[in-house]
Amino acid sequence: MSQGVEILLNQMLAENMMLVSFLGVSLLLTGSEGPRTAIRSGLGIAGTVIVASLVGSILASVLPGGEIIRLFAFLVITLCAVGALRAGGLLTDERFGLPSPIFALPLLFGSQFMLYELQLDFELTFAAAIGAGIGVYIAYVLAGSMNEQIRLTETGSLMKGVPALVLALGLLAFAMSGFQLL
Amino acid sequence: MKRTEKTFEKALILGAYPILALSTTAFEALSGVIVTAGAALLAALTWKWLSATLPKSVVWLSAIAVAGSIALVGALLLPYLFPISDSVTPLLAIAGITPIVFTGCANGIVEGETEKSGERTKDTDTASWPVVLAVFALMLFVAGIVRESLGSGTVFLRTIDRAGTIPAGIMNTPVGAFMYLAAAFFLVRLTGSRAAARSAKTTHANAGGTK
Repeated sequence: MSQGVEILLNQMLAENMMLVSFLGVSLLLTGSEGPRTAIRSGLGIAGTVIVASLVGSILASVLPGGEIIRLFAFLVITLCAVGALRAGGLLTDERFGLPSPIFALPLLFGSQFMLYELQLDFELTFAAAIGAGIGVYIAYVLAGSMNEQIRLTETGSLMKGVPALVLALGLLAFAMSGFQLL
Repeated sequence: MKRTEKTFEKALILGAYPILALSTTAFEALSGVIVTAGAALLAALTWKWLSATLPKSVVWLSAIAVAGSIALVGALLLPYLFPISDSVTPLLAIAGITPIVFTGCANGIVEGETEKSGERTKDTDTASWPVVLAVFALMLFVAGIVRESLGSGTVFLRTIDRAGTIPAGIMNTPVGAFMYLAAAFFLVRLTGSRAAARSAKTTHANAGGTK
């Protein structure tokens, strides 16, 4: 297996940003959409993660200065990515009285940092970004499907909704961590 | 669902990231509480000062920038104050821009109100944002203690296990974090439903006594 494929699979499964690094977990817990909507909107979110993390990690590697300059650059790119999501008509609703792009901030900021921390050359960074994006998409669609299943099945009132989803996400994280051997 | 229960659920959902990512040790959790609370207070203040003069979108960006900057500064300083590893720095920086930080901002939540079609109506579903933030801080701190004690057999790096006890290492992993969060939701709902059942029983008994 080539190094690029290994990194892609690792970012997609064993180091899944949503399930193992918890980035964007608030997005999963508050997203009431079913799998059909998640398939469409997940593409936009995953695409934004790929572009933001690529731009962020490349910019951070060429920027002079210390860690704080890099982190500020990540913050600026995160805000641009949020603007792009809004312009694309994604995450336009409100959740808990907050605009929903707020729920994507940790994912967009964290993905740039995680990718930069890997300290890879451009080809491998590209593979890692694609892997991270696919991982985000898989987690988003799976969470949408589980959300719908939990709504439809006769779960007890104490576990109905978010608690059952959290437990299911935990099991999914357990399954993902099984790919560490790759 | 009662108000207290809803407040706890709101704190757990909006603060899910710090609770999951910054609770491996009690010191990490304490750092998470400091960063998120500081960022939340300054974001709310920014919102209050700027919302009267600037458009909403600009105020939002300002609040995010302020919260992010505070979190970055906190993330760089806290490893010098507490025994936490350098790998926690990015997690602390990310914690400063999680939804719980912005509960004091949007739609007039600063005053415990929601804005609907130009009119401001009182939001009575959950407690005001400082209470939500306090509940979140409590849940994060408890998460740190529970996960560290079960996962490593220590609390604030002091050994509490008796000799020969094997810690449940799974609590140090992402799976353990999800297990804690699910258990917290379950306990909040269980407590709420028991309280509701007790109050219904008391009401029933009182009605029987009156007859």
